[in-house]
Amino acid sequence: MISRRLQIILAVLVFSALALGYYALRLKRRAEALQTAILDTRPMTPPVSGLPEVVRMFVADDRDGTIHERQVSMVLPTSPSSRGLTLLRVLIASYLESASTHKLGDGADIRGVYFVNDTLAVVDANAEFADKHRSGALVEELTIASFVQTLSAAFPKLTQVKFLVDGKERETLAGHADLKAVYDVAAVNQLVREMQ
Amino acid sequence: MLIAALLVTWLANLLAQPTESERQLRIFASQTTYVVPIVEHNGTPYVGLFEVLEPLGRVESHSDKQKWKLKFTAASSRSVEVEFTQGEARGKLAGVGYDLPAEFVLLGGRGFVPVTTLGGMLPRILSQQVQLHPGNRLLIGALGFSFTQQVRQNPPGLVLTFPSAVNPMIATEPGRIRLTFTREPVIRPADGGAQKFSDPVFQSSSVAASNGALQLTVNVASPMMASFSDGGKTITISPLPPPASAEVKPPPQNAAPQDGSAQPIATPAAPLPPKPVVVIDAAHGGSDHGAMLAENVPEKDLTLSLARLIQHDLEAHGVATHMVRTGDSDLDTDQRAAAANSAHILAYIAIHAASEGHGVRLYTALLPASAQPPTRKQFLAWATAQSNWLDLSGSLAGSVAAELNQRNIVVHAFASPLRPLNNIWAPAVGLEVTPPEGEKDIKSGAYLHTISAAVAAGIVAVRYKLEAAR
Repeated sequence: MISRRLQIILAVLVFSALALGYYALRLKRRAEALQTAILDTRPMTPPVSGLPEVVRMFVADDRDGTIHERQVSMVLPTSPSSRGLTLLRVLIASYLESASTHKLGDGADIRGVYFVNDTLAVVDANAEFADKHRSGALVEELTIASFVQTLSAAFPKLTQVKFLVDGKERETLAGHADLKAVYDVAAVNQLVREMQ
Repeated sequence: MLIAALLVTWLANLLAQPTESERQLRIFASQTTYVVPIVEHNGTPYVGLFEVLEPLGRVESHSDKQKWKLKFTAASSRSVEVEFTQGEARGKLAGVGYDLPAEFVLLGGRGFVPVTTLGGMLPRILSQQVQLHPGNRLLIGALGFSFTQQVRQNPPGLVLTFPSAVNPMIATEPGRIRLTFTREPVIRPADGGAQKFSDPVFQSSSVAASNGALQLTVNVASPMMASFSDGGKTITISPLPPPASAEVKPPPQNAAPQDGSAQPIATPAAPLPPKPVVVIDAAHGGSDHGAMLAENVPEKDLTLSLARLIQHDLEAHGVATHMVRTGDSDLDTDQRAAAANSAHILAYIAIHAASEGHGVRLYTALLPASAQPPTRKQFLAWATAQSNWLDLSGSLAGSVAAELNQRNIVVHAFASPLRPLNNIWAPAVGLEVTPPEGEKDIKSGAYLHTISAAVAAGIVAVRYKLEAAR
């Protein structure tokens, strides 16, 4: 027969073990949530102040190989480079959403948008943008056209766009779309009109 | 373990780097003619069994560590399974033991067998007669035919007679004329083909086969020309007629009288202008797999299969072709454009494939059109060489689209930044094949054959327009 004192001690020990287990589980979940937040590399646009303005985004849709115009109200910085970077990062963020019609690879981002002059812009993407891009002539073309068209809608004087990956020239985006070429904005505008 | 891994990597690289000048096996079947690269292993020539069978029916293969299995299903016969183990000569064919003359080689998931075993192995897989001829020529079915040679005196000529139409490449050089047969299953005559003629003009002939081609060489004493008759079944080699305007000079007074032995020295005939070729570029290859279209179906394999079909269909229409790659070669897009531009190019077709969407997408270069007409009298910018040809590229794409539409295949046409369209100095079209509407099987033989026939018909329909533009 187990004494009453021993039974009480045993009950306290079992209760303590359960409580500690629950506490450890909560700590583990909190650590996991923190880790996810650290690993979330989706591009974030820097906070800016000012009045919101309506900008035109050209969003690709793989289902029927089309590009649709979407109007977005947002606050944009004033310098052309920051403005271009913000626009393209918002576009990429839409492509990284789970419901996107034109998924880009995790971690895809734009490192910078540089204006050589009013007519020539250089877009520098990160390695994930190209390395994790799906391979295919049409899907790659949609990405390029969507980026060039969105930039040219915000900068009407733009006539040429060049793409770099991690600051370097690359032969193709993912085996098909030319990244050595300097894109002629008028030709892309015409293409997007046909794809809409 | 590390040393073994390094050795396997080295061997894989060694076998996976065929170049255009490397050895190849030319396979003649009733439905198509194609080439498969030959690789050497321990001094023995090997070929990929998957590559040999792929154009002949449905092929599935998978490897599990050291074991490799292949299942072949022809259009109208049962399936046959083949099973081999890396490094072992003994395997299974249709459930029965089968011995290779040398060990089986498995590299990168691909199974390689010695070339010499094909004559014995393929009849059991294909249920057809198969003959492996010298010079790496494999004939599937009773396709082979030979020819006869007969010297004619009046007018002088050597008459070659074939049971079927032929279209060899003909080259002349001092003292001889060569006919090279690569498209037709011409085999060596029973007597070996070597003949000595008792004729002052036609001296002898010999037949040699190498690297998939059969070559007939005729040694002659004067410049020659070849003419075709009887629907291509007869080739007559005859002396070139003297120029009509040539002045006939009397022989010098002290010249020795001419006898039969004093023959003029053979001089080279005027070189014929090279025949314009359609350059077919099977995209990707080697370490560049392209998109994965399905499990174990990389884009590079499907593009090569379709390229071979298009080559066959074009040549059946009498259009000369040039394949940018015939095996699993690593080529970057600049090399592809350079290969195309250095050929006597009539048109360029780049072949791609994707698993998303339906039908066929046709691409022309995404460039502003140039107002200048195409001319070779100027330096061309590499990045915009195509801008002179956009109109004709559009015509070519339109013609191919019309043929595809006639065959109920959905077509979408776009301008595209597809490399290397911008760098091609000729009418150029990119083709991206996706699964047929309502289906997911992009590898269906009937579907690819239909696309190939439409592409060939589309090119043939604008052939004269393209030739006129050159």
